[in-house]
Amino acid sequence: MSTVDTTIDVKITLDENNIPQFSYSQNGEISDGSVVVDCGQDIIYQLVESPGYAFTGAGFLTPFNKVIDSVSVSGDGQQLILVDEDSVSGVTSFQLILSCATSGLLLLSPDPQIVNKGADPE
Amino acid sequence: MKKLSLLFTALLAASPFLSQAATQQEIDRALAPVKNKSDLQLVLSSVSALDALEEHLPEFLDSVKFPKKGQQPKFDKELLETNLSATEIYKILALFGQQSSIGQYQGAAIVTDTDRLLLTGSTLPFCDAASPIELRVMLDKNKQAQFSYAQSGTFCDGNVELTENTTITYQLVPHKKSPKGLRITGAGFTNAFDGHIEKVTVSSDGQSIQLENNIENSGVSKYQFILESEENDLLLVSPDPQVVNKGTEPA
Repeated sequence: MSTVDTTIDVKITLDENNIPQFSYSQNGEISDGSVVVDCGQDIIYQLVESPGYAFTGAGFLTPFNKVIDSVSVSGDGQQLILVDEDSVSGVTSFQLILSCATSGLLLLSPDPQIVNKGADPE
Repeated sequence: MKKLSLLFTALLAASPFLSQAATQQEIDRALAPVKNKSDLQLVLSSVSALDALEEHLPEFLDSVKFPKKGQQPKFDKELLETNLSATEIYKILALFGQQSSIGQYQGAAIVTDTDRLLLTGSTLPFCDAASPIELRVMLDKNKQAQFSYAQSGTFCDGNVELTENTTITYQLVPHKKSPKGLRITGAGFTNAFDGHIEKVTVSSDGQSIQLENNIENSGVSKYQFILESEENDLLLVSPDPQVVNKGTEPA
């Protein structure tokens, strides 16, 4: 199966109330961070202009539906890679998990991201 | 960030809710239509909630046992959970005065909003941070993880309301339907900078987690537990419990 990578830039800013705001872009276009997958691919979330933050992983509300096969984080914590072998159709929701230099607590992206797989061949 | 004056009180807001829940269970049992075999025969003589079991009714009736006086009737819970919606189960539990245990039937079918309300426990009382909160994770028939919380045998909604600096403890309670090798790895916050929770500690065996609040920072903080299991390499996150730091309102 051919693999086509999808890279999504993730930027974290703080609003006037010090609440983290996540914004996403893909190929320079603003996106909601969601991905539609119709062939096996790696989905890469890349931190940009977000000093002090590092990915530690991704948390799934439905980790056992086999839509995403594995997750890895680059050594510097700036990239999160979701491996999707596309062997199972379905939808999954996950949240990005990050450490931040200014807090001992782990930060979660507020909105679960959705990966829609290709149409069921049935 | 708004800081409010400290309010130290020995009474946690959750305590009255727990008492109410226990009282409601006693009322439910006292008013239950079925307390013995004769009551059950009477219910079966006309249209009842048991009709929802259809062809499974004989098997269910065989499983019903009436222990000694003062003890709750027992029956095949899995049979109900496998074949009925949450509302249908609730109506049957009500016959036995056990409707408050509906939260144990997380594998039941969700067809209506009422089913969802019954199973998500949004009407449950707050948990009491004064003692450990039991956290149970079970996989339903679709392999979806369902989280439930309880203290001293009474279900609560996982949330706590605090009026003083407190260490909140959640303790994993294993169940045959729990993911294999389940361990807590931490807690995540959608707003890690509000100061409501200042420290998170996970036990070395991953079976409990403690969160320490700072009552000086009033407001609501939502957090989600992060767990790993031997089912696969992905991390599981819980729906969000929340802590409410209640300070005195400024004059």
